[in-house]
Amino acid sequence: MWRIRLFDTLVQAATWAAGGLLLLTIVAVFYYLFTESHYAFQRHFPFGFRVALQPPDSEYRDEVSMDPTASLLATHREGTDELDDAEDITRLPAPEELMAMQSLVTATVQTSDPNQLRADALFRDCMRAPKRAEQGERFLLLAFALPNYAGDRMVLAWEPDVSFDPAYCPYALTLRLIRAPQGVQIDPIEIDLRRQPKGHIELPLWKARTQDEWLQGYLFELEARPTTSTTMATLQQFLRSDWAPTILYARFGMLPLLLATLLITLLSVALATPLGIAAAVYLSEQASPRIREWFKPILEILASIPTVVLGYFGVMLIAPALQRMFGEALQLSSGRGLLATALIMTVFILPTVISLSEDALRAVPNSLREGAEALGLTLAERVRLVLLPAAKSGLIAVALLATARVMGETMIVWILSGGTPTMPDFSSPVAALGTLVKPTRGIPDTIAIEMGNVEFESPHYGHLFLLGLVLFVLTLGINLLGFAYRKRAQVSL
Amino acid sequence: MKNYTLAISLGALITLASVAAAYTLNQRSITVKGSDTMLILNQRWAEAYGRVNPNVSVSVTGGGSSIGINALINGVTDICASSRPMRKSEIDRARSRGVVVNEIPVALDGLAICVNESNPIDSLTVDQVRRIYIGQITNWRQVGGPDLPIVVFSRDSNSGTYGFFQQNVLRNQNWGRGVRFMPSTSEEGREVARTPGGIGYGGVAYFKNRPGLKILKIAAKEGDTAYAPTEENVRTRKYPIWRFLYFYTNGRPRGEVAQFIEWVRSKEGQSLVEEVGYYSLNP
Amino acid sequence: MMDTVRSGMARAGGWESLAAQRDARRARTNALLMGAFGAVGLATVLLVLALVAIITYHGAPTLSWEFLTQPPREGMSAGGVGPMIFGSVLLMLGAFLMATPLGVFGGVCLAEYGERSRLMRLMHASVAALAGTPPIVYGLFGLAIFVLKFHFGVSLLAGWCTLTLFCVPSIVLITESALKTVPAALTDGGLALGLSRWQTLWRIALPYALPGILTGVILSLGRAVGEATPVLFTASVYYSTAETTLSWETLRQPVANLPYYLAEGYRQPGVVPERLIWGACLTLILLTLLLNAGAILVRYRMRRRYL
Repeated sequence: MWRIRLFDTLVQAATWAAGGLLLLTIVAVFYYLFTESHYAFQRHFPFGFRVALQPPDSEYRDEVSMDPTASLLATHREGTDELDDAEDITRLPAPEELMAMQSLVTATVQTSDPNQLRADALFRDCMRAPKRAEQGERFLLLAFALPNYAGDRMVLAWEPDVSFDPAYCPYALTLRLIRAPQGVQIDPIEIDLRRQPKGHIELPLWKARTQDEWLQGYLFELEARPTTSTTMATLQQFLRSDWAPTILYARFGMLPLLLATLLITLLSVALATPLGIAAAVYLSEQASPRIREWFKPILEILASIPTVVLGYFGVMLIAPALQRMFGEALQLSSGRGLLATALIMTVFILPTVISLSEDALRAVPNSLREGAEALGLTLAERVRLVLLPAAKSGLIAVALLATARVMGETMIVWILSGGTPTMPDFSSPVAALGTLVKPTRGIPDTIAIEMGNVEFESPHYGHLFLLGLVLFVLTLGINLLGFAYRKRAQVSL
Repeated sequence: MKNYTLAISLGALITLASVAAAYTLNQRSITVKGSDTMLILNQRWAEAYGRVNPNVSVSVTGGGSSIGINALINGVTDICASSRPMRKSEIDRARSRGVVVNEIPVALDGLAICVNESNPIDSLTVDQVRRIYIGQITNWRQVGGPDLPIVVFSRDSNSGTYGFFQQNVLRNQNWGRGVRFMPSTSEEGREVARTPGGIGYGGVAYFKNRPGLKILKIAAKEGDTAYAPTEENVRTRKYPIWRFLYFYTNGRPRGEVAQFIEWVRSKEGQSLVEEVGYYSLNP
Repeated sequence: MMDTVRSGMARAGGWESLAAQRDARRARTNALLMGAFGAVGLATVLLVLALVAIITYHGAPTLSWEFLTQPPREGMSAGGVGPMIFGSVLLMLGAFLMATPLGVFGGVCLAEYGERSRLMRLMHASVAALAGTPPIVYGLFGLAIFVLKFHFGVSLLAGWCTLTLFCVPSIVLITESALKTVPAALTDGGLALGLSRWQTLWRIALPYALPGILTGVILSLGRAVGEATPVLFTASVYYSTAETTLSWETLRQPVANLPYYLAEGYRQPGVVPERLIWGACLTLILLTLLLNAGAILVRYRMRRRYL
């Protein structure tokens, strides 16, 4: 008797242990996806402007550049500069130092070591600061011309640093004059740099002759005033439309990735579901038991073909075919893109859809079939009027399951999407066709591609987990819905 | 039921037994982890070192420079292979875990810029290349060439060259709007050869002696002499687009790891570098 | 509208023949539709069979004893995929040993207490949701918890744990639904004979459900072995000169595996020759095929035994 009791206890303990572990897993998946994503919210929002003093007739060329005989000195008034390799512009130098710095206002750092080229990116006349959104920043700018300055007027010109988009900046940016040189009459100047990111203002000429006069130049202030919290700013930018995480002014807009994933999913599920249900109807209603006996295992085998292999298949066959079709007209460099991915996805999901739809159809009670047959309906009518409505919940569950599977499938997208984040564009037929065949990039492959090259526990790393969380929540919702439909249909798929 | 329980436990037993048996035969091993760019190079080194010193096994993993750096910080790899210098924040993090970062350059990597053969341009400055790729220069006329729109090709973000180029040439600025990303360097070369206004970048080995392509000379800045990416120019660092490939270890390497790294930097090890398409440290 | 009907009636000569005509049309539609449906099914199978055939055509010449056992050589451009096969099998075996008990007992738990409490219903839904969670999310999770938090590093152990997590939910669901198919007559009979609840489960219900469970386990393992993403950040090595033997050290070291080999082969085009890629594709397909054949065999034999 005690042995039986011991045995009972053991089995029961194992059962409870397994159940507990499962619960723990579920909680842990949620917990860790969340905790790792919090690194995303430690991001900085760097901003950068190039400001220069120029003669009015100077060619602006492509970038605002400094006239070598004009001087512009910048310093931080508040906050610290945390950029790696940043040059020290945090203090206003003494007059004698200013003399020595004269050569530094032209902007090239001379080096032949490309690893130091990164330092080169920080021009003396470009003000950059990485900041948490809730921290403000104030730069002081001192503008004056040297005695050998050629022009008879001077112009202060500014533009955003290359790749910096003021629209992405969670600050109100203002450039204002706080002091004019003695004896110079000038109207107050205050410019909203977000509204007017590029421009110039003319200043009455003022040359410094002695060292003491240097400090009397035009004193400007560039103020970055926080408008929102870091968390809000991170979330806002996460919902924007460009993904460029490795540039200096990193952009983490996941919209193109999300839309690509959704489009691929939509296309392939829209293709696979009707086809799959059609085949399943044939299998469950018309095919002889022998055929069915053969079909099922074949479908199972087909469903288990590794996705890497399917991806290769697409690269070898589908992508070249697409390129031959549209290559000339749309200047395609390879056929990899949304359509190729969606087609292979369809191949990937079709066997599963057929197999599960067949299960769902077979779960419809035979009495319904027989009743319909007794009414003299043909098979096609029975399917349309009786079988499909009866199996509706089950079939919806199948479609949802397929959606979740396709949405998270990584290798196929990785190999076939082309790896370029692109916003879908359906404004014209040509643009729409372009969207379909040109390279794109989804959420799962972005995680797979970039995880290898991020600095761990950095904001970029956090954003990859945030992407994972988005994918998880999306599939979770779809799966739960599918689960509800399955329960209603009383089928276990 | 019983049969299956038996089979499973038997399987487990055999696995455990073989584990125990193999434990006694264990080789000494070195793990190299990191950069995908260096994966093939590391593999060659590991393979050849296996012949030189059969008692030591070398395992090589890719995944990316960051994966390697993180493994080094967590102490789960002997050598981290990285195609970029470690960032300050990473060195700080390593220090806080008691890891002293030791940097050892093991090879040189240079990128060639190529254009279509019909293009009369022979040389560009690094800054011109940068501005072409970020979309500020869109016509060859702007750099002294014919009136022809520039068609810009790049590797896609799967590759290590993409990161190298973005970091060292674009200085972490964003790609221009019209850049066309290609899945492989050879396809990139093929497209540039087919497009009169095309420009592309990649390892010299992929572009050398390809019909329809011309490799440009590059100057570090305006007014400097432009150099072709020949072996000598890269090694003497006259050619401006290059980088070191590094091994990182925790402190000075000792024992087998030190021997392996010494061998890698020796003439024999460096001769493999050229075979893979990079440049050896010294002639 | 009426006109056409009337003229139709006139031509056909009355209601009866109209009905016959309609029946003929219905039969035609029926034949057409069902034919099309059958064709779709056939086309799917043919399509994917063609895929397998193409891969076999390209891959078969590469397949040899040497290819299956030798490590890659000369910068991955020659040799075979021996360590990758070994690693894939190793990953799968470990995941099998860890996932099966966890999954089966989890399924028992759900089947026994499934509808009883709100907690269990929540758990059931969560497991169903986890079963459909993308492998890349498991990869991320494995990286965050096993590789980084538990300091397993990128290793076989971390790979086993991640793959186990990946497999368990579907095994749970399969076990649960297989246990539901056990006829009440059998379990009631057991209880009536004086067996305890757990003995009934262990000696009657589980053996009855075993074919279904085993099939499910094998199929989910087949999916796991072909999936690169859970092991991408957690367990993969590209190349190792280490002997393909087992030791305790192996647990802490990453292993080579076929899906990762193929993924890298894609990432670095031109390095691994196409010949080897096709060969590896075919090997991977054969591996999953072997598992599937196993599943079918198990189901077939056990069904005969019990029914």
